[in-house]
Amino acid sequence: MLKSIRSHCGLAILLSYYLIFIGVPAISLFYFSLTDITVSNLTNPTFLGLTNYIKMVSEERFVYNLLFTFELVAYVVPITFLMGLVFALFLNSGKLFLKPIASLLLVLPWVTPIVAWAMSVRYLFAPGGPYSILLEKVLGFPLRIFSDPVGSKIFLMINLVWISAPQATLFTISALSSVPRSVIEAARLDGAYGISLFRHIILPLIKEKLLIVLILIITFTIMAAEAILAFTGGGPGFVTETLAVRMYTEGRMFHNFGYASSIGVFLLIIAFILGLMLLLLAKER
Amino acid sequence: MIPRKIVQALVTVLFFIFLAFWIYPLLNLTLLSFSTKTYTVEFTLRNYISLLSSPRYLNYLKNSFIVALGSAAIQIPVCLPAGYELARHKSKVIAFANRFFPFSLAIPWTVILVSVLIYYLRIGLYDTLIGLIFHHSAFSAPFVAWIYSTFIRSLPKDIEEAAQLDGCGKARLIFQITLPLIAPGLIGAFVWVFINVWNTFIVAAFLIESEENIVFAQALYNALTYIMSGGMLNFAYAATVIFITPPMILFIIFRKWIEQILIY
Repeated sequence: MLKSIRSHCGLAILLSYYLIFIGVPAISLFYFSLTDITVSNLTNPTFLGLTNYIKMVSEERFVYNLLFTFELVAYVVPITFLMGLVFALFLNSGKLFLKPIASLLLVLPWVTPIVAWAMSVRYLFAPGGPYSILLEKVLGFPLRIFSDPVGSKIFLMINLVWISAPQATLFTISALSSVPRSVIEAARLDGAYGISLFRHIILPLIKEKLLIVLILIITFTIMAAEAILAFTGGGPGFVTETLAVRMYTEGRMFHNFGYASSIGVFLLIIAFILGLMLLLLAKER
Repeated sequence: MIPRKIVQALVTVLFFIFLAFWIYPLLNLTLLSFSTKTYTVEFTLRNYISLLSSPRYLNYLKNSFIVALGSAAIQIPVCLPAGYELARHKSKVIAFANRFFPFSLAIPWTVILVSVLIYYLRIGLYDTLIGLIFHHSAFSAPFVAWIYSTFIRSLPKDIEEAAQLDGCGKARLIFQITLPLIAPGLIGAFVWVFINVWNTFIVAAFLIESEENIVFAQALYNALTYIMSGGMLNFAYAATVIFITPPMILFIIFRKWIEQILIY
């Protein structure tokens, strides 16, 4: 008994640290979502029951946020996933002459802060910037990306793919690396190449791991508040505002902590479902 | 059937187009940061000189360093014992932790930032750098513990047993045998946390308000919102270049060890 307590001491330290700074706020989010808490009544908020949630589902803007979140997932996730898969297969396919450079460039986006990336891209598309001049020549009319709803949606989606595809590639590479080389070599000897090699040999072996990658990309896309804030700020109006961004504007800008918490709970439930799927899929590694 | 060579060439081209789209804006930004006109390239260090002599920006830089270094350093005492147990002991709890910890980063804790904000307002950690450090380090602690455990597991147990047979005490065992052997893991995780914390602004955007405690990423984000309507673009570009430099340098130096962590 004593020994088993002693051999869990470190874990206990870690978990209590995690609980204090992450767990307690996460749990009390549920309580805050039932109150009208704001800066002026921090210690004694009024209990409102489900009012925030009723307001949430009956609000037009929230429904739009939800739909746009789905739209984002529907467009960004498949493209990111496929790009990650193609690049990973490409980088994994033996001898390539630019491979070291390619793999270095793949990790660099992770090192580059989103703000810096947004700073540089937004300039290119700003009125008078090189890309918007080019677009004007191609389209024949000036397109103001940041005030045009469709333009800013497409702009946001392209950028999200750009920043998440390298990460998807890394995940997929680690999934692919679990396939033993000998299996692939044996299949090659039997005449399996290219797409048939992938479909009949590699895919069945890493199906579960690819599903994990897919769930990770979905989670990152739904929760991508930082990237969206940096690229479009949710605008124009609230055209590119997802739920995560809405939570930020509601909570941080307008100090509607109670309402922001109820959006947070909504997102947390989505995250919980996705995470449960992950846990079921993940074998002990 | 399309010949294999052509497919490969196509994918290569696609890949490098993708990378070009990623690299071109940053290259452009770097070039323009040496200029004083919005769209024309010239070469002057004026932006950088005025930036590095402005106490405001130096303060942002200092805050960012404090938060990133603090979050990375706190991981070692908090996570190392746990990492050791994950690698060396066996129980149901530890088996569960081994299964869950690698995915702890996938939990989108940005969702609870409102709640953290309320807590920090109540207990007085709001608008302090230490509060930021606590949140960042707690967020990545399980993952870092798991990284440590993979490195510890790769050490043969025999080394520790041999040292103990030769009369090596527990403390000495840890500090003279185990720690030096897992140094790549420790440093890799340190740099990994540092870069992550350095680059993130959303946590600071929630938890920091006053000008003197703003971190660099947050300052750039604030600049981003008003700068596009004109103004000191080139100055902001120079600030961005300075902002990118520390993570880039760290990454280039410790590349091998970080890639081991990224491709886990």
